[in-house]
Amino acid sequence: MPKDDRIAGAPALLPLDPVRGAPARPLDAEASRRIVDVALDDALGTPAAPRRAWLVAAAALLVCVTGTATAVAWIYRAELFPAREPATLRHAPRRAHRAPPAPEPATEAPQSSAPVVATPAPEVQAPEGAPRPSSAHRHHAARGASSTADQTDILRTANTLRAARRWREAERAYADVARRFAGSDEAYTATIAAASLRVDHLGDPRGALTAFRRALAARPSGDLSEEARYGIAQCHRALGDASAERRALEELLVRHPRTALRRRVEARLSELRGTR
Amino acid sequence: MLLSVGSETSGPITPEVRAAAAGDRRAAHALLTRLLPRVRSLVRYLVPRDDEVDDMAQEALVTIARGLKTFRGEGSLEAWVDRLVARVVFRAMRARRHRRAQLDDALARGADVIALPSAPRDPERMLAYDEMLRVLDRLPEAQRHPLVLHDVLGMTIPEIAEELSTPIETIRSRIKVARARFAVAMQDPIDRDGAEHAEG
Repeated sequence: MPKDDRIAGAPALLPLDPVRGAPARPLDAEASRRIVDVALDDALGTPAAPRRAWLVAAAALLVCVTGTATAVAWIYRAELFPAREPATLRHAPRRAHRAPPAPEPATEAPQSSAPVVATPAPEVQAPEGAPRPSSAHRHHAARGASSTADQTDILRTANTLRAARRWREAERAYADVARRFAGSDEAYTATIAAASLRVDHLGDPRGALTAFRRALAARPSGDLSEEARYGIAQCHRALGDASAERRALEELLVRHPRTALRRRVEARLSELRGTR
Repeated sequence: MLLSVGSETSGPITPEVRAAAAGDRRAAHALLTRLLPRVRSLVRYLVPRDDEVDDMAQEALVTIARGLKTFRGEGSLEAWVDRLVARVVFRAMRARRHRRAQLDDALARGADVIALPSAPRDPERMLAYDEMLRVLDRLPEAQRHPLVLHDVLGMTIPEIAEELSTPIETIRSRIKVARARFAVAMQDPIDRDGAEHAEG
């Protein structure tokens, strides 16, 4: 070390602060826990929200079981009534797909200088444990199975990209699921995941706001409505609209009185009310 | 003021480290939670903006969690962590320069990302850190990084030269200049409160 260069008695750098983290700004316990949780999710690949994972896995199971049952019924009926109904069955109405909404371009340009508390995008769990149709049924259930497989593949890709912190590509992958499989549980979750990435990492609170609102309108009492409402508040904050942020946070507390975010929301509301 | 490599609070491979390296999430959580203040502290030494600290700290934690298996206990865990953190920060800054040059610098400068209450802090100590940071933030990156690696982490000049892919003599010179500027600015209240230093 070139200690010879040092001027005797001259000011020098302070040591690292391994207890409080100075000179970094103070961070409370909840925020610390969140940072560590997200880091561990990325590092160890553990889903951030088991309850959500169960929901998605259950939905996938339902899709696969339904597809299998349909295939079995087709074979059974085809054998019993070979000349009577095959055409009808082949053209049986499939599950209607909604018209895909036009994708909203996420812009890199920042919308505001307002600070945003980073919140991890919801993890979308690919239904890996869900049963798949047997080979005998695969052909007849091909359409449903391939649809599920597509969702699974894209969600896996999106999660991988997110873990690699490739935010834009992850956002596109989530948005792809939301667009192509509109109406599904996966699309709902993917919409919120994409919106979270937009506001947290892509500097697009306006696009995120639209997406959160769309998800909330589709499922006002959905499994992720709490996240959507908090996301809306974050977007208003990023856009510098304090009154809209306050209303969104107040609504969050009214609709989700037992939210785990209560302490943070109340602290932020106090700040907002204090600056009125 | 002290010149230190920071406190080192653990032996190289504790049961907690071993469990965390083996994938025990609870152990990893406890370990990373304990390391987080140190990581944030170092990140803030290296980057001139508060708003980037937590993203980079989080990225550093990911790298630490993934890399624990490779920690052999040849030095202290803290020293190993410090190296990883510095590497993550440098990589992130390079990537940011490359990818996000068009972003409005004003977006984040001075932004208070997380303004939440925290544990009580010694006001005098805080003031000392704030004064130091004000001066440090005005040093150009090319001088700031070698100075921090050398005077805070205790890395040798050849190690820094290797880390920053810069010739040894250049590093030596930058540390000397940075240290002199830092000392002068710290002793001059006017300079300390806002004079800009030109790139040297």
